[in-house]
Amino acid sequence: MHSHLLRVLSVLLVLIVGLAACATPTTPAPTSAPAVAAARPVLPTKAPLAAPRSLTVFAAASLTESFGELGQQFEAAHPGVKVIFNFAGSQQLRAQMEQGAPADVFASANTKELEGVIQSSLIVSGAQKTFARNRLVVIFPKDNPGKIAALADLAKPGHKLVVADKAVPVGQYTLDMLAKMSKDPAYGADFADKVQKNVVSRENDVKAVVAKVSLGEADAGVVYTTDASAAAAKLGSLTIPDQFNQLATYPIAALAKAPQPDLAQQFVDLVVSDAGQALLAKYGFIGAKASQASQPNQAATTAGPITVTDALERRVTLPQPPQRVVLAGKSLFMVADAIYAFPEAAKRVAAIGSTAQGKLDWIPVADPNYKDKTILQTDAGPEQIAAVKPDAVILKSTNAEKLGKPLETLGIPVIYLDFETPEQYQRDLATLGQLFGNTARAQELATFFKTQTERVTQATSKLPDAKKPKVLLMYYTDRDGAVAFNVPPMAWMQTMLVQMAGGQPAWKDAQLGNGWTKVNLEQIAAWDADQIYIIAYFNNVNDVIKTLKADPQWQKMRAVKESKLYAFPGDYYSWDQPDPRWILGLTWLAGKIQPGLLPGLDMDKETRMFYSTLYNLNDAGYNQHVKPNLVGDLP
Amino acid sequence: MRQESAITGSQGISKEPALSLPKEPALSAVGAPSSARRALDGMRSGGLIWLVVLLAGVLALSLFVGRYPAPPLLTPSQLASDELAQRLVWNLRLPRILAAVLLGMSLAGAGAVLQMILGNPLVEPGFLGVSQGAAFGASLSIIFLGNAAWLVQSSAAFFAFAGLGLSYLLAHRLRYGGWVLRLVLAGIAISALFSAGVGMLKYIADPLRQLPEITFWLLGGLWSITWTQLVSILPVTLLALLVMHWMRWRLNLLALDDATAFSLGVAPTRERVLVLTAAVAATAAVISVSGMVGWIGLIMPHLARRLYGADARRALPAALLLGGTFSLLCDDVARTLLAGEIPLGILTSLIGAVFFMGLMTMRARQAVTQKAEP
Amino acid sequence: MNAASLAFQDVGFTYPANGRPVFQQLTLEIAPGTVTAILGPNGAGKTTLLHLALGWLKPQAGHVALRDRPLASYSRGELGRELGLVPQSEHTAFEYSLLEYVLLGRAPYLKPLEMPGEGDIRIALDALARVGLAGWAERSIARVSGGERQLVLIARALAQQPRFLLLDEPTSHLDLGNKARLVALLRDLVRQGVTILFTTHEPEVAAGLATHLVLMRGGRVLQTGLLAETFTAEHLSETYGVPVAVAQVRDRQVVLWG
Repeated sequence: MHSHLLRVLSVLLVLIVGLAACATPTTPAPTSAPAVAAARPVLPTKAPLAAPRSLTVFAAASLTESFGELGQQFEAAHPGVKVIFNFAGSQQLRAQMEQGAPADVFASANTKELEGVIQSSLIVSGAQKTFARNRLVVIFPKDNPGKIAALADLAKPGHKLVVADKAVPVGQYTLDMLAKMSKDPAYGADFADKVQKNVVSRENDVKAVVAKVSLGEADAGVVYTTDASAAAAKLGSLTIPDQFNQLATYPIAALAKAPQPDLAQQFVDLVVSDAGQALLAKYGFIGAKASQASQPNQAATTAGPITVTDALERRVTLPQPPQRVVLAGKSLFMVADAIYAFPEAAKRVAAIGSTAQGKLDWIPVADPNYKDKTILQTDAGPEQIAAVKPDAVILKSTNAEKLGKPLETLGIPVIYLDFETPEQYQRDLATLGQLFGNTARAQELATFFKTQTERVTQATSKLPDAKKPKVLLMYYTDRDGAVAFNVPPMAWMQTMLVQMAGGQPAWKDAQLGNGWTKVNLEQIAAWDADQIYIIAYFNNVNDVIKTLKADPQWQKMRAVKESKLYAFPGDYYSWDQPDPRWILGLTWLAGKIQPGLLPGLDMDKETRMFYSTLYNLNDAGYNQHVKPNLVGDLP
Repeated sequence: MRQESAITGSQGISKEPALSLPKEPALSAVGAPSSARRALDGMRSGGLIWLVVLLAGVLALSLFVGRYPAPPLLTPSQLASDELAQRLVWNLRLPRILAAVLLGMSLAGAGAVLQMILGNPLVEPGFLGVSQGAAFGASLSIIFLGNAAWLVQSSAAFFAFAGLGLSYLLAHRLRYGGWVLRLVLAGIAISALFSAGVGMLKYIADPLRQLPEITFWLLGGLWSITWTQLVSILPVTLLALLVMHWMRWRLNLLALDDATAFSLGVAPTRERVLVLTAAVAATAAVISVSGMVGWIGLIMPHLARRLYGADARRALPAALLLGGTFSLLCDDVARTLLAGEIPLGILTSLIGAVFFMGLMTMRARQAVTQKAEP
Repeated sequence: MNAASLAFQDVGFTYPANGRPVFQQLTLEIAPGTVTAILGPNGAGKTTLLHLALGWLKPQAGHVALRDRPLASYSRGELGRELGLVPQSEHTAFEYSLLEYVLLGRAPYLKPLEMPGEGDIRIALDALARVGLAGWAERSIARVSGGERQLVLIARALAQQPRFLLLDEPTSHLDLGNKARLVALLRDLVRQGVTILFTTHEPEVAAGLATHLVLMRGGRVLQTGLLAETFTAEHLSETYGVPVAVAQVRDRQVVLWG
């Protein structure tokens, strides 16, 4: 009876179940361990010839290969001298020395153990020199039985991890690294705990960790990069991003009571010499002069994840600075113009929606690669945007429901920027700086806007109301066939410009809606403003002013009689909107409302400076592109 | 024969009908019992299986239709290899497709129910203040409560039911005409009231941000359907569809006048309220997520009756299946034809209106030829 | 009183709409096998009486009993199997086939979500045959004449296989030919043991068919009883408010008016 409805439902169910199976996303493959070019030397095994002098060097286990070769070099340079090495965990070596084991030189993997030996008066304080640095890396057996693909896998239950004990320098560094990762929301506050749960063994020196992992007794371990290179044949490795990685500092010093003090000192000198440093570099150690921040041989793609906070106060984490950004949604040009103030935009923006207002479009001028880009239609849907394969999409926050949410369900990171008010400019420029990895530029732009604004507001904010003329700012439109004048809401940039420029908005009590409010001629006359400014987005504003001046009703207005009816200027876009050109609008408006404020104001100079600062446009470019499109009451 | 005992006064209540019909029909040419079987087969789901197949086919195809990676089709091999495509099909397309089918089924089913019960083939499921109430609720939310999808949906659903409730209350108070007329008049009045409300809200809306949202909602569309939204309307709509489907033969009875229906063993008011509530609940639920999508509820029942006869036993399931298929096809066009979204309501109205005109002109031709028959 | 009768016992009924009392202490028995005609001018309340007999209207005082049980104590399904209604006219906006339409009469025998089966279809086809519409099963109800439509309604009521058949003005819209057919059909049904209760405003139809008469006017029952006793010129004049004479022409009662 209801068989056919049941049939329909069962077909639906089958389809749903079938598709559920296809929905599992894949995870990115891990990067391979950076290959170290040098060949691996074999440890020296030749027997001593006669009764030689011997130099005893206690060195951290991670120095096994490199110091082994250095030892050979030293023996070659000092015939008759045999270098005896004791490689172990730096904490074990310290314990031995403190218990009386004789040693000439101590090279430690961290400053802590060496400080400890100094405390025990076995080394004169100040005698130590930093001779190398090292970084951590995650290793796993060559065939990767635990399928370690990302750092996050270390915390996944079921993996067997081997690390050094926390007393060992590399063990402590590992703990520091885990603590740092736990502070990052991408890994979570319980990351370190989860990883610790996976640790099946804590070794006394780093080579033991290497051995266990090489033999497959663990799924992964944390060692120095130099160790990973030394055993590269048996291991795979996973890079640890700079922001979590630890820089291990290796100090070396001759012992105070060394049996061979001169030989000890010569050995130390060899280690810190250029030859010694070059040798250590060969094994992958970082030079002694390297600082935490800079990385000499960093590949471009090893830049780590970035996290930004956007206009909707969402924290968005991207695996790396975005390389294919899409700008889409409504009211795009205001945000796009700010984005193109960054030099990276031309390369990193992959697709862009419609940016024209009226007939003119600035973005093709600002972007030299414009014709290679995908141009999206204004109302492109999420599928259309996904087809461009972006790794980040920037939208104004009004597009959140319709575009942002669906894009997010597709796993495409969405960053909302608004650029609506001066404060938002400061905030959103900083976000852009982070996104493009160019905080310097963001700072430069933010400063530009700030100083240009304060140049005006510092004076106007001190003015008493009596000195602030009553200003009426209206947007003219004849789009529906009928002429209409509209006033902006109090919260919008247009009103803010008037207030910042030292005027009083005459329409303060006309607020009906949240957008442009239509007002009739009676109301305009009733307001009896001192100055009237007309904006037009889709008409030539100069023509509009001409028409109004010829209109007998407008001629009766006091502001018109006193020649205080002005056309608001613009070039590609009218300067009253939250587009970056608002700063020009502010400057111009201040010059008109409070003429004494900016003596010697030269709008031509100001405009050229704006384009030069924001878009690196020289005079020739300005004359070609911008000057012909200027409208409004500009001298 | 049994009838004689009835006349002479049988004692107690007999279970057998008083009038037992003879084994042989009283008059000839009725046909053998096999004609009864044939008639029964005709009444059952036989031909409907094709509609099910059609719907299933369109549904499967719709998963591959869209603008990614390039319009109009996504090939199965592309789907297998592209992770983004898989996410897209699962998160964006599949809930939307299912919602479109649910929308079409609910509106068509509700339309069929209302047309039968009110005995008027020109009514739409939302006309009892439901559509305009939902529009008012959605606009109210967009302006005052925020644009979040769940808020808009809840507000729309609430005011849809409020519209229905007000229509019922008003109908009770009217002193004019039969219950059908009263209900229709009340529905018109309440709809007009909410429609004025929508007008006012549109006037005070921010033209840059809110007005386009309101307009888009009013034109109808499934662009923002998520799994959450789909699941939120699933219980109500599935239950309502089941109720309508189970009661499909009784709908024929409910279309009769009260005394006749009563004489046939029906509780007319109670059963009508039950099935009307199911119809309107389904309508309100789907409209709350899809906005105003018209014509499906009006046209699909007509088409179903045309193809499968007036008996709701077949016409109702046919309407459900046709409605689901039609809605899905329109939505596929809405999201694929152009880069931007075409509001679904526009497509259903356009195609529906053209279809309606065709239907009307065909009807006229048939009626004319009928009169010529002896 | 016959135990199998449909009986009004002290029934009082008032129209809820305007509070006008219609019946007061009405006692009436419709015995099985009889044909009772409710006769009266338009607006007399005949249909109200019929609906009370059906159980659709509930009396404010007294009760209507079937087999000594108040109608209210019967389930709807049980009532449906006992009493069948043929309304005066029915408008349908949709083009059912005659068979589909008559099949609706099987409702009292079906469970709430059950649908007619093969047996029901056979009964419906037979009902169509009884009213002389055999072979018209697939025809559309929108395309039959008024008289044929009336026959379809009767067929639907017959599909109910009821003991009591209630008809509301069955001949009012019929032309002579169809009137004759209908009356012949009703006589046939009486012979097969169906008890008939019908309203009419045509005295001659009543006279030709009924065994018992209920005369009504202005919402009041004037007379009840056997046809021979009540079908008099005096009573009829009172009923219609105009002078009426009754004559006998070839075994038929004829009413002379005007």
